[in-house]
Amino acid sequence: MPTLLRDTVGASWEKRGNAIWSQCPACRTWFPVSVVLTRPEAPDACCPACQQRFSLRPAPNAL
Amino acid sequence: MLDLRRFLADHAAAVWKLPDGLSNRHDLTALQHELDARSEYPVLFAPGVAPLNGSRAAIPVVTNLTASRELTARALGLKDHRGTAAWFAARTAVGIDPLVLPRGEAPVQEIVRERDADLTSLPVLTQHELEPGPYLTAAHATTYDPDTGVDNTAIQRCWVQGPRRMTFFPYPTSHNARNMRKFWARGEPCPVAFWIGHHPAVLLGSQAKLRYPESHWRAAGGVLGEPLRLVPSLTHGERIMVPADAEIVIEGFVPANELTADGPFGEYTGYLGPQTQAPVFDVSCISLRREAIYHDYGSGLTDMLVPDNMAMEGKLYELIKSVAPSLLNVHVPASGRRFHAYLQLRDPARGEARDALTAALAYRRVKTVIAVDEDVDIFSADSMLWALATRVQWSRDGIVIDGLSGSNLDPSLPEGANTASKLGVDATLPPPPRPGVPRAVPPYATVPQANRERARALVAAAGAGAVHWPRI
Repeated sequence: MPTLLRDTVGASWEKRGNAIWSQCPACRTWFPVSVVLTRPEAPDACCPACQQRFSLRPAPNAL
Repeated sequence: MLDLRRFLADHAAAVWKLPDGLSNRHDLTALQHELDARSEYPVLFAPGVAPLNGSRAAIPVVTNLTASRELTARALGLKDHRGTAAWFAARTAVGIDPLVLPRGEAPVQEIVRERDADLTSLPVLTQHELEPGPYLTAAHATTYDPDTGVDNTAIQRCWVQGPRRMTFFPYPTSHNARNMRKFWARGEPCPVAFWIGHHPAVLLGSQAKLRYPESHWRAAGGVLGEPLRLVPSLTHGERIMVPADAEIVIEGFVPANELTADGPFGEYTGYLGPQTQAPVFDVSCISLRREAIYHDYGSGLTDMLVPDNMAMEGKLYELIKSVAPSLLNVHVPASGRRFHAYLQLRDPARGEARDALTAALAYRRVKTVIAVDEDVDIFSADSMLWALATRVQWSRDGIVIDGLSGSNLDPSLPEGANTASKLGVDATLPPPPRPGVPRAVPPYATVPQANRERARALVAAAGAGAVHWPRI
């Protein structure tokens, strides 16, 4: 599963960043992604550096 | 007849013709960053930028076309860029009906490529690091509402992925996205025509903030001061008209429900918007003028901010004037991206400044609005900060409203938030305790006018010696 990096959860009066970072499994480049790409129906992400396509969708639950 | 070429010729002194050898990756954008940092805004004309397919450079690139408020205002026929708000509101409200040319008479259809249409023959730029490839940034996407036939035009970014395919990213709440979803709901591809390159007055008029559905052609004519010449597009006919004097038109379809990754991309905020999903666009036809010029907007730079901000000033002026008649002027500064607005009022009645602030805060992504009196220059950051320093008590004069519409591209939004927290600041002076007496505020520290004029003359006479005086 590709790595996703987002800020920690905290109190409402503490500043938190809203960016989600993904790391390309091929060339290890980090780039910002929208939460939209983590939804089940989303297309594959595309590394802006090497153009490798990879999924950020959640794995289907095993029965 | 006004077009991009006429504008470049009329303002040749403001155009910097660049040397050959600049790359289509990052070079021109780097120049724009450098010039923005120096507050210098020449139009950039680059004749030798290679197209994406590596063939000989045949189409020059123009960028930084609208980085200067002064030059953009001159394109509108205005002597002073500070008068844009009221002028734009008036001209887009009245509008001028377009003029339709028959096919065969439109310069933008002088050259037609259908089977040999190739996006990679264009010198499309890759602007910023971490962007996945070359993007059209000044492509005005025209679609139409299938229920009413009314067209809509807006600039939307397109990642060129091959000779006949690119992404197309209409923001989900945009009018073009609404039209597209209507076609998709019928299981049909959405027809689109993108036009690139025209006189800055047409570019600004096309950015008028209108209702849905409402065509931009009348507003563009109003800003241009003459009927905008249109021609039926080659693929879509009269359902989608395109400006006859544009430089390049790309026509095609957005297939239903086909999405792909798009971005990251440098946005108006000055940050990269994240990679997201976007529809794809398949090219059916590209038409061009002979010796076409390719126009690019520097994304997130003053080049892109100035025209949209001027259009926002016109819209805010119209919205606020109806509730606050004392409104004199509006400025949406490039420094605030599209999040800040400054309102200048003349002798507002009690409560009127707050009425104006509340009306402004209701508008889309505007997040911080400051109201000041006539003696504060809303085009000077120093003057605005002086007003904040000396005319505001925050608990009394700040209005915070949570939950208003904002922008998902705002890096300060909490993750998952769909609305924004906004601030209005009343930095006006209190009105006089009764008519005919001074306000109960201290007078400025001033010198007599005669002494000031003598000082001005002395400074002017300092001549060459003044060149070496410190500036900060």
